[in-house]
Amino acid sequence: MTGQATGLPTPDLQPAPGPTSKLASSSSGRARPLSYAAAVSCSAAADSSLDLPAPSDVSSASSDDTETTEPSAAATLGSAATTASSTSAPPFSSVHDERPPTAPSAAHERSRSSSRPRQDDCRSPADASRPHRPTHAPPTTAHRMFVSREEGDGDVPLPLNKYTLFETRSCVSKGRCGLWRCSGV
Amino acid sequence: MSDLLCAPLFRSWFYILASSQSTPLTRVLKIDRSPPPPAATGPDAPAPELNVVEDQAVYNERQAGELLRMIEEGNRGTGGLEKVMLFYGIVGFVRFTAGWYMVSPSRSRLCRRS
Repeated sequence: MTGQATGLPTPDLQPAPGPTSKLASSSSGRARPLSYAAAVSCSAAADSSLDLPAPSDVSSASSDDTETTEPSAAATLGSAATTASSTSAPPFSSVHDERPPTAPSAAHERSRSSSRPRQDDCRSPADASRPHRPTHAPPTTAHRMFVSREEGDGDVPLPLNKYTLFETRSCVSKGRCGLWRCSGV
Repeated sequence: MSDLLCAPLFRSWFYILASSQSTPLTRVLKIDRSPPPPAATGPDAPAPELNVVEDQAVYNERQAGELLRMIEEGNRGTGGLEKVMLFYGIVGFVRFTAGWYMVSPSRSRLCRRS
């Protein structure tokens, strides 16, 4: 599950950032119940898998995910796949180049800052009878990756409903074996 | 001639292009399908790893076509690139005794809510 063969930073597929988990997380598109968020923050404070992304992760994954098409990543992927490629990777421009970069709104910043877990979420049993302060469930990085801002206010996941499978053939020369032998499905 | 000499010698990949029917945006997933080395195929050999590379870029229709053309050109000497199938999602990856299998629906039907 690592990308050591290509040198690309490959996300670990266990447990959360895999392709299937991302699709599953993006398909919900709704905030978790408040009671769930409170239970998570109280009972599993040391669970690293439930931690929020670091501020650097949030800033890098919030608004630039759908705008910046990484030319280097695209070129690296292509060059890694092409074992004997003589063509250089085309300078892929951004998908949304026509749109000027927009700063996050104040309401969005407010909701982002309020999504941080607070110490007073772990209340004592005496305080448990009071109504719980409403908090927003933090949007995950995997959720943001499948968000298309062109379809609305940024909460509409990009529907990926058409998948095409390609394979690179791996044929050996017929010089020694007498026949072409190709890998196939 | 032994089968070892006729075995695939080059690295082979699956490419999954995921797109939407409403927006022409495409994500790319790359899966290594190279066979394990002969030394790692014995009964006591460790299970092969699933090597999946997710491209972080979002391609439009033209860029996705350029990417496919580039892969096709680069692998022309070993057979090029071939379209295998069309499917409608990725359920997950499971591993049985020999290797990994991708579970994916190959048919879709739009149900009307009554």
